[in-house]
Amino acid sequence: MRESEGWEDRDRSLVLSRLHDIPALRFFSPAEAELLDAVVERLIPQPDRAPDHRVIITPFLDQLLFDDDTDGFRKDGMPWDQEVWRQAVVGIDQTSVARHGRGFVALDAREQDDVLSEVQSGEAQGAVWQELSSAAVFDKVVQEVVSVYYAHPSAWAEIGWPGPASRRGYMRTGYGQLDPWQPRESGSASSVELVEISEGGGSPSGSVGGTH
Amino acid sequence: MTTHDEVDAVVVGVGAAGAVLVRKLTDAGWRVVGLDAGPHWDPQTDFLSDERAMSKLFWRDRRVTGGEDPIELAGNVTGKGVGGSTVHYSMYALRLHRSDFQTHTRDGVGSDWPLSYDDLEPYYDEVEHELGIAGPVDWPWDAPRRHRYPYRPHQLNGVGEVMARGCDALGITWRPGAIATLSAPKGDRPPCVYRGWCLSGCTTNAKSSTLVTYAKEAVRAGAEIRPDCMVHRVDTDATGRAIGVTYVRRSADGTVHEEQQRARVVIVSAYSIETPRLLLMSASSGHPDGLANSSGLVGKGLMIHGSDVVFGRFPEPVSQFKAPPPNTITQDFYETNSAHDFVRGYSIETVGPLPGKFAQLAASTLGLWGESLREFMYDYSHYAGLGLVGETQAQDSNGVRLSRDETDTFGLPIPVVTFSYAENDRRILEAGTDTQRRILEAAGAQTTFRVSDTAHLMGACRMGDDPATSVVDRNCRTWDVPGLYVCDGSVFVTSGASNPSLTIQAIAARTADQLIAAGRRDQL
Repeated sequence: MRESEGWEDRDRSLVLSRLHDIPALRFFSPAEAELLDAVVERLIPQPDRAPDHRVIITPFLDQLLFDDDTDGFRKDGMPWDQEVWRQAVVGIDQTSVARHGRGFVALDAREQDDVLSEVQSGEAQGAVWQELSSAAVFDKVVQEVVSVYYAHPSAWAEIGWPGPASRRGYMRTGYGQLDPWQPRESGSASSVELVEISEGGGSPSGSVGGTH
Repeated sequence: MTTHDEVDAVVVGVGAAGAVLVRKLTDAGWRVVGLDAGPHWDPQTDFLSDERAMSKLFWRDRRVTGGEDPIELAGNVTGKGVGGSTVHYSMYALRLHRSDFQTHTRDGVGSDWPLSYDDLEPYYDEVEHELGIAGPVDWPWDAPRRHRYPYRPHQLNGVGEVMARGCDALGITWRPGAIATLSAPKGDRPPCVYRGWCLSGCTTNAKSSTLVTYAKEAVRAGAEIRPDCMVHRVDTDATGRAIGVTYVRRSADGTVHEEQQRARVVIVSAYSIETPRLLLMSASSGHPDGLANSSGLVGKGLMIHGSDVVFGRFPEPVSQFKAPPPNTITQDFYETNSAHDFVRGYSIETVGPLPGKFAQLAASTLGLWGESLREFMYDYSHYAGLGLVGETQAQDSNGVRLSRDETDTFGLPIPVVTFSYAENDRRILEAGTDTQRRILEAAGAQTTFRVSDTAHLMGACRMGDDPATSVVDRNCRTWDVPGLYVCDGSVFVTSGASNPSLTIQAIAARTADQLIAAGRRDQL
């Protein structure tokens, strides 16, 4: 937040509210939220942060669904978003019981990853997944979770992005050029192997706009 | 129900086309009311530098998207509020090519437009001047331009330099994009400061959305723009003439009530989903299949652009988030070429998604989550993306209809959108993304990945010379209903391979002149 000195007041207020005003649960039940917290912990693990410094995600998903602040459209054959999330919670637990004999929150991290991989594959066990594509539901869940995570200044810092850049903008826009107020990179390049998958939603959600 | 006194024209939807119409008709002395379903934004107080918060700019009422290749709605194609999607569009301001108006004659596909490039050329000039388009000194594709772009091109950003380097290595022609953000002051609007937030709404007013250009000027000239009004019926009299529209208006206190606006001329400018939806919702005993639908083509022939993006990772920071994402372009592959296994073609343009969007694209396409997603994102600023604008052919099986069983918060039937690519469309997608990948690799990309995406809407109420095969004539007048006009992207006959906004605005500028002339002859 040190970089926020040059920001517009209204941008700073919004970001600060994300850090300090965590919305109360209104859409998910406590049990649903507990399961989602466990899912989010595997989708965006934060072992590098102390528990009270982790980016909080589930309450913002709850807020989005309770306020119906969603994209507004659904794909033919899929329910509206609120129902997708309710079914996601039930379905992930069903897959968990089918594979490991216990509910998702009772599993260790490796087992949880195993369940999520099966849900992502589109071949998951569980009654819910007889009616709904588990791959499509998984894609929806991941997209919303990453959208919340990368709206947090802790996430911006780790990817070298300065945030709102308003009103200052940038001066040095060329390849390899850095403005003095851009965060400096610390780590080396990622070694993650990139493989395009055809499962899942295929094309991305419209929730944060198009590209061109 | 409140009924407002008759005005000369009511325009439904104050977006890319509607704002141009409201402004030009008002300037000509007409009494004009513009109705918009969304708010009348003030960029300096309402717009935040935040991806999630700014989804409020998108049309997010309930819709269903289907077909073999369901298109992405919300932020990819739609806007809600004065300015419409020009408030968050990427700002490429491109003309169609001459060939786009004659694809049937030249290539044996689609239909010819009832307008030619020459008909629109003076209006392209007019709109480019009004918006202050920044573009290159020369435009090397299609026939030469008569006039230079009014403003100098913007400096290259990192993605633009990557594209230029790759194109140079492969012998592909590139230019700085022609884009609708100022490179020097214009009136009370300052030049762009390269914040890179263009797709979330511009807070500096450098971006030439119709919100801060045509709509603002229209209000100064005396037009009334009435926000938060959702039109649900075009009203006709016993003779079948359009006499006004009925809408529900949401007040500041949240209450909703119905009003009617009478007008001598009704112009529907609500874009390719809401325009056909409104005509279909206006069905009556005299028009059981919807208004202006004797051809059966209202809601049919919807086109998009195949908009797949290929990203490449580079050793040095590209900082894809700096400066407007639309930076450089090539149209070397725009025209039919006998060496290709398809007709018509594509453009390639730079993109520059902000972190939330980029993370969504990568997570969805690469199936990444967990530690691998966080690690992947450490390289966010090392990626450069090139986007496709791939032409699609109009098919009557693609389009918009009313849901039979689902309604929105006003109790109105929601639209159901259907889209499937044709074989030629798919071949363009494959060839285009192959070129995108080759450019990135020639520029030194260490690795690449391809994202499926769709963008832009064209057609669904097409224009033509024959009432049996079109909804409106060359002047955007509906064939069936006197006093009723449709003027927006839905009148497109072919999609071209250019972002559609400038052509939508040029058609609106021309239609306004035709209306003004018809008014003088008392032939509205």
